[in-house]
Amino acid sequence: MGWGEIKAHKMRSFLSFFGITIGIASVLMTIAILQGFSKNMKEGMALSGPGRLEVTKKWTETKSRKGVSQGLTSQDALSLEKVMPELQVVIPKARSFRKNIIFKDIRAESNIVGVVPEAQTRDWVYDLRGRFFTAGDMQFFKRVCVLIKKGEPGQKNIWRKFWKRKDPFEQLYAKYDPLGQSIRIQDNLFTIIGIAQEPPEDEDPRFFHRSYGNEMVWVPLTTFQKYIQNSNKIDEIIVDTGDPETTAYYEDRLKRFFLLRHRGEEDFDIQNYSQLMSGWMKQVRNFRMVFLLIAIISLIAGGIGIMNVSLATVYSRIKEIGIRKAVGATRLDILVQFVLESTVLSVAGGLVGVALGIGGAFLLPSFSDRFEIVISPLSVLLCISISIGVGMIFSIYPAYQAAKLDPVEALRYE
Amino acid sequence: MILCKNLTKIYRDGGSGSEYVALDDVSFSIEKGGFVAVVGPSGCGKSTLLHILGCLDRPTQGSYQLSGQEVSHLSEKDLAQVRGRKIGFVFQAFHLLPRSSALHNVALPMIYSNVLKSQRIQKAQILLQEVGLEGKMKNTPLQLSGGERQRVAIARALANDPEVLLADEPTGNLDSKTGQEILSLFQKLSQTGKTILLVTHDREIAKAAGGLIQMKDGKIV
Repeated sequence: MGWGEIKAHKMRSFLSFFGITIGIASVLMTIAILQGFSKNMKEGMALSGPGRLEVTKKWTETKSRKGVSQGLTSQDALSLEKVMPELQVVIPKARSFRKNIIFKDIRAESNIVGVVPEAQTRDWVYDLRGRFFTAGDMQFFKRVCVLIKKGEPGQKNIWRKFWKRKDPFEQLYAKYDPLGQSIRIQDNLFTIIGIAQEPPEDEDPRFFHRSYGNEMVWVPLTTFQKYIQNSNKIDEIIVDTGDPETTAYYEDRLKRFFLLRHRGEEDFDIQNYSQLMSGWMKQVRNFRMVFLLIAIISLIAGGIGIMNVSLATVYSRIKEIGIRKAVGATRLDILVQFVLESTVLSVAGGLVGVALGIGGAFLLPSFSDRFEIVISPLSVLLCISISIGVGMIFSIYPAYQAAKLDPVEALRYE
Repeated sequence: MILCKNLTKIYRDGGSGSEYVALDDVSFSIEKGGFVAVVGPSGCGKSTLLHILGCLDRPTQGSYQLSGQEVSHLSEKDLAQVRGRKIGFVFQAFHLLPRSSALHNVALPMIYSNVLKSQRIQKAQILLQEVGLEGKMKNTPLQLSGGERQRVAIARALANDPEVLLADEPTGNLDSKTGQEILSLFQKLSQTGKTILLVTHDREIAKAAGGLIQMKDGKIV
């Protein structure tokens, strides 16, 4: 019976549920984005290590600088391993910028990174051909290197069609297979022992620590210090306590440890990633609240649409209500009928909204590489129950207006 | 069957406070199976009487017993049930649902008396056959003639086997020949034991009924 009424007034019915459709679609899309974001972040965190702390050198000169500290060095890292053997990893890294590289006829510029073999245990997303560095490479200052082959830009990203990043190594890989060959870095010849292929950009699970744009060559840290940097300085030390609960404690301990070694000079920063992470998560939760508020507002708007149309429907069906009452319908019968009709419309609107939301959510990643979308059955279920709820709540007033009509007057109404 | 004592209906205008007495101390009774016509000029209170007898409205004062049950001060919900199960209405303007088929219109009252759907349809088919519309069950009221519409309305009034049929100018919108047919249908129903009260201003039609109640200015004269 309600269905006939809906079919008889297609435009009116469409208008009444359209507000719900828009509301539900935006709710679903926002949930999908937020869930995708959380998922990315958690995966990135798992890849970084659960109890990650990062000690980095201060890049800017500070006023308190007294010149008594020699900065972060390899010795700091070695000493840290001895003092706190319970740490899961201690990975020092050093970086040097814009070094000249020559491979056969190809010249390029790249940042060079000195790493230790343990670097393979954190943030490792590469598909390695050849081999990585060993303790032997470190010990004997071997002039070997691993090239990083950049990941393909995301296929989904439509902007990429207009803007393509220039990769100085692209020609090299296009023309040669460099594995096992020699490459010249500044004045020294290195042997390429491995090629680490990055995943395509849109599938890169790293959330933090995506490599710097022009970081194409890794060499063993010791080799780096001897041939490229000419000092035992390092830029950062990555530490993993193995447990996010202990990071605050170790953050404090590390600070005291380095202050002591640097003669009271605080020329380093300590990043606590589980804290950073929980900060991010808090942001996401805050954002969720804001979004919830917006969703509620948009659904109220949709609900008012339903209410409006339902009221109009009631006024155009006064006679029908009189007839139904004359043949025995109680107030409750009429109330239920009108609420049900609106709920059917609202659920229809909700279902269209779910479809639009899912469609929209799958379209979104095409605007960026780093856009993961998670549509859980739970969020779809939530959207459908919201549309049921909105339909019911906002049709109660019009339905009540219908139910309380006086049968005699309703029958007389023309 | 129907026993009314001192029925009074007063309409009050909320704004001016003026009163209008639509029914003034009306008492009468109708036996089971009786066929009574109510006649009188327009505004004499016959429609008001019909609405009160049909439980669509409540008297301001007085008592109304329907098959032994006092109904003048029942709740809204109980009134709705009484009019669904004990009373069948036939209106001058038919009052059918325009988009529903004849079959669904006849089945409508049974929805509210909780009859199962299959039984509703079955019963509606039988009733439509009885009023001679077996070929037009799927037609909507717009596809039926006036006489046919009124037959559908009568079939609908009979859906819950009511004891009382109330008809408000049932022939008023029909030509005299069709009106006569509808009237004989009422006579036939009267013979099967239905109590019928028919409001009209047509003396000829009133003669067809067994009893006559003549009204003027809210009173029986």
